[in-house]
Amino acid sequence: MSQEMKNPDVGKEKYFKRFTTNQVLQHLGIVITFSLVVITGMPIKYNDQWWAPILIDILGGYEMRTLIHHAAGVGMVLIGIYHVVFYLLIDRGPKALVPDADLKDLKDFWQLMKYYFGKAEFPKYARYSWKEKFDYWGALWGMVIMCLSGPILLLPQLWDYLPLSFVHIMHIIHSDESLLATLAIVIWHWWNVHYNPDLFPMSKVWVAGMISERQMKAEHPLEYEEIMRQLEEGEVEK
Amino acid sequence: MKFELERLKRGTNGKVVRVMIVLQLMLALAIMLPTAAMAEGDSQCYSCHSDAVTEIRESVHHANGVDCMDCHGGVVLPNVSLITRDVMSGNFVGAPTRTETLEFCSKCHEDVGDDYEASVHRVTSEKHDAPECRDCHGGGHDILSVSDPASPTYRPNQLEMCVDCHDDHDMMEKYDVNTHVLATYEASYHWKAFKFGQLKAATCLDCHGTHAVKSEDDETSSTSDFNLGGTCGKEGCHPGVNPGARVWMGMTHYDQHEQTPDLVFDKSGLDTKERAYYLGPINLAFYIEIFFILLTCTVVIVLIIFVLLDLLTRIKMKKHF
Repeated sequence: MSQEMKNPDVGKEKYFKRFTTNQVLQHLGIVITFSLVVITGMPIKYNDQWWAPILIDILGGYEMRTLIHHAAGVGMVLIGIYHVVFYLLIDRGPKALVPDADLKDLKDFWQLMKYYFGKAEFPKYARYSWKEKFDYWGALWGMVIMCLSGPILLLPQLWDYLPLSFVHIMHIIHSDESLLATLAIVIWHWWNVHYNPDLFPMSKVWVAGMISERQMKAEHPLEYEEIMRQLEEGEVEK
Repeated sequence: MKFELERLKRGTNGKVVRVMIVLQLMLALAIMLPTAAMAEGDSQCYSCHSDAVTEIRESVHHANGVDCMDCHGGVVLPNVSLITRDVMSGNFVGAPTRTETLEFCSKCHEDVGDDYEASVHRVTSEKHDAPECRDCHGGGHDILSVSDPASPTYRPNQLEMCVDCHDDHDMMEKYDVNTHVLATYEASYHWKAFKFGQLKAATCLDCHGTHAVKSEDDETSSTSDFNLGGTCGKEGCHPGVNPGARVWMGMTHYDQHEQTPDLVFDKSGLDTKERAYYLGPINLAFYIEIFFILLTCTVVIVLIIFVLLDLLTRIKMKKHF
């Protein structure tokens, strides 16, 4: 009985390389620095909340909080610069981490809406779905804003050239964008890769860089077909 | 003593009386000598002004050897009588009036007195409730060191010391001083750091000065446009800020709620600090805040709708891989 129920494919699941080690490490770096800046920044934004002093205590006092925030922030800026430089100068190939948006994304978006109301098939995505592209460009927008406003608040040497009003505006932007970024990650990104019932407790792609054939077929069928075609024609090694 | 008592029992004679007198004199001297030695301090005053003397004995002044007459004047009498009004004569001054305090304290604190005299806080007949020495340092007799946690001038207590008056709308209105200083300071990063224990973060006196507090319109003020850069760039604060930095272009006591949506085409009515927030007729600080509120609300609502749609679909259909 139990043997019949067993998936015959277990143990034979094929995996595809989705991200290079370089890409996985970039993501890991952002995961660590982003978590640190959020944890050390939110008690300042919400300094009147009951949890703010508790969190600062856990972090090792106010000065340690500041030190962690600044160090993680600098790390984030460096990863951002590395990411852009790597894409522009080293690898702009089809497997690069930078997705470009096109008209198909709009069509997919609309098809997904229809799918939710039972009026269409689940859209066939290529290497990156519109959701993933939205995630990427959203994160890039956040990175640009935080990595520009952060150093202006950190380095008073810059105030020789900037009016104080500009520093205040950067303060507003830094604070507001932090909330937007945190909510987007917690609500949207974590739903797509953590909570959603297909992947719960989490997708392991971000650690291993590998994606299962089942997930590949379901979520990136166009890329799957392309890879299979190339394999048949002997264009690429698996 | 036993010997004398035996003599007394035998009967009164001249010798016994002489012995008694000598003994009484010795007793009197034993009591009087230490008192005479203290008479130059505050003990003469204590028998009547016990509260005041008790206070001053716990104060920073007593610890540094200052006693009643150093401030109040009066005559030190050579006699050792415990109760006398004569000490309160000569140049004696009792409780100084609000305008007299400066003279009182300047006897020793000359530099501080000069700073205060040049400050906006100086009490005059028109500015009767401006702060004099005692308003900030304590009641008068119980003045404590700035390093004493019980002192109103102790660093963590300084904000309270200043807002005691500066948050008093009625008093500030008389002198046309705005009362948003507390709210705007509490919205600043300085206060957030300070209240979580980073006591080197700026509090009132660090920027405005201690005794030489002046209006920002006064060119010699630490907060005037000319000196603000140097004040921010003080050692231990933001040493990267130069005296010429453009920190005067903007509001140091910045209030987001004062930013308005009004389009201002004619900015001649605004001062430099307010004008610095405008890009053309648009108040950037206001509109950027609005932009982010709208952006965040929209994005979050849309994303939540998507997550719910996704969830509902997945509940209805089975997993798709």
